Amino acid sequence: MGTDKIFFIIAIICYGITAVYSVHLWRNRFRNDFLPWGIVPLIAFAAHTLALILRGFSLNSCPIHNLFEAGMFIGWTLSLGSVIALFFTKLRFLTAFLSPLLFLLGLFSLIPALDQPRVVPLPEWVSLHATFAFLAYGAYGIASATAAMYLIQHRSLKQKQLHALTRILPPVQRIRAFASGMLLAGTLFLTIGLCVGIRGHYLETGIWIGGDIKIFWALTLWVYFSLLLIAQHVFHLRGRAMAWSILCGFIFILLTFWVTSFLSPTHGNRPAKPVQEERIFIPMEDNREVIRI
Amino acid sequence: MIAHLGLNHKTAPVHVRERFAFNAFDSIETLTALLRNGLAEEGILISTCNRVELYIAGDQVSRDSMRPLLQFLARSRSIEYTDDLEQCFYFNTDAETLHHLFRVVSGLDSMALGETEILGQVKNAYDLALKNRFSGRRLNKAFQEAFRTAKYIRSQTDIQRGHISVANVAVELAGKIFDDLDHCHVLVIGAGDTSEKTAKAILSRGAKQLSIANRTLERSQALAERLGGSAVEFENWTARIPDADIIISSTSAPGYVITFPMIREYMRGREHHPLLLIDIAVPRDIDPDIDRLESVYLYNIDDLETIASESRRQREQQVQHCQELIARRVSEFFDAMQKDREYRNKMRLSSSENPSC
Repeated sequence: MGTDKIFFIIAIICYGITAVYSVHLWRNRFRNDFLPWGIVPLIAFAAHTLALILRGFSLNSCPIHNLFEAGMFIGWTLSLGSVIALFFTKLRFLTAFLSPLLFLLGLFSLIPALDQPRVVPLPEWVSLHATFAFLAYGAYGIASATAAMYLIQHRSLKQKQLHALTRILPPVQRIRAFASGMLLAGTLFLTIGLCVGIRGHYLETGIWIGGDIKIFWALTLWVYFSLLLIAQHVFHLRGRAMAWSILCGFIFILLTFWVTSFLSPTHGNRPAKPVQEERIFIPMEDNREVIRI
Repeated sequence: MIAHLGLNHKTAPVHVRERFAFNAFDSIETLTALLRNGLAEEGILISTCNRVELYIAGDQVSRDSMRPLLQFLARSRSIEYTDDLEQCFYFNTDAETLHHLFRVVSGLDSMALGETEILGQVKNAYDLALKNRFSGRRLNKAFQEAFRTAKYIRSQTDIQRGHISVANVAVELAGKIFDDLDHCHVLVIGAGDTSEKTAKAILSRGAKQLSIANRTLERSQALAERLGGSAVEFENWTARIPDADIIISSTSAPGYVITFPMIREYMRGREHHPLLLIDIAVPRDIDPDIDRLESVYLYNIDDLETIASESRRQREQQVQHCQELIARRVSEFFDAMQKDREYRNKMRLSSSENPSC
């Protein structure tokens, strides 16, 4: 097992600890306990970042070659969001909502079948395309955790209750604004990622979209989240409807990302077929055989 | 020995408490006289609206110090000493004194159980004594340990969690709805006592804009002047609704003053801004159906009372746990003090046996 995987496993264990500790704190009515809040998520983020860097160095490129790396990268963007939230008093408990997701995502990414070596090196534009796409999924993940917070807080306030969780969660107005911001950021990242991807695909194959299920999937997501943004800003979509829509959108991503990647001829784990060597005999002055790929 | 003499809201009526109240200047004067008279070597005087307590330390302090101390206090306030007066006071020494002090700073002995204001008041009294050198090694240690205990109790128990007054519950709710109370516009309809308290509490948390509408314009003007807002003629208060973020209603109208269609219409132009409605009137002023609207949060007096009494109940449940924690801290503190005393005695003995050292 590579060092990168060891660090990634450390990060996953820390996410698990954060999730369990959050539940413990909640049951203990958020009183200060044996661990200062934020220490474990910070260790997890550091280990996760290190794992990603080591992987990148071992490949000599951005770690986006297979589904293990995709999971690790998306998890890292979520972890980055949770660490940033730690520095904002009213948002710091977002980490508790993200940690179970990070733990499960990490465990899933560790399935050995997902970590297949890529035979053919990827073109450079793919790094840019994948990075933006993964940042978008990370932003949608953070938006969905925030949406869950909104639903809990809204429900407590409507039920005229002020229990321990209500007291530690931020005001509904802030949660909603943050979720909207993340939704906007995610859609912007996805737009850039899609533009880079589609153009790169066209330049390489001469086809804009073709029959690739992954491209259709990503375009569907883009349309869905763009419509959500329009509904929010133009038609003043209600808070609860927006929160549920974001949550459903991200659950859809989680449930279909790996399946569509497997089915796609250009994405995911399937090692790209080595390009058939097209041998063309070009008569040279010294009768050498020239191979053109 | 450490001891304390005091009276509080449980032992003395307000007309006795007010006669024994000390301001900072009086405290300095009294403590100077106390130390000069040789009644104690150290002293700290706490004076709040609900309690006056004198903490002293010294070798001359004993269980019999109550009467001379009380006579001294009465003399310093020009009050005639009587046996009845003695009934209003309590006097304790050593562990009981520490136990009492720890309870006081933790808010366990306060009228509003678990309140935090007392901690600041005791800190101020301690700072005054420290600055003027009225406190020494024994009281400094005791008070610093008391402040640590108060912090410990706050973090380990629920004794200070939640709010136990209707006005503060309303403020807490507003803080869970609005991102920033600074930009909230508060509209008060009906200038009653509870609505005044609630508005005051919300303003104290940063809200800057306040409009008050009352059937009697003079009354709303007087209240607006007191709270720093603007008075609105009762006939025109609906014109202020579009600007309002928090509406506090407490009129004596027999029916609903704020109706469902009124708020539904108003919320259409409000985009994502929530609206907090606080109905303190009986019979109610605000149509309860309004609560069905998504971004509107409506609380009536029962809702607020339920939250407040739930917090009160939770605090009461914590008293026993707090007492146990305090007893443990007092015992630990006393053990440490005992060890310290033994060590000092040993050092003193060894230095007297070997004067050359």
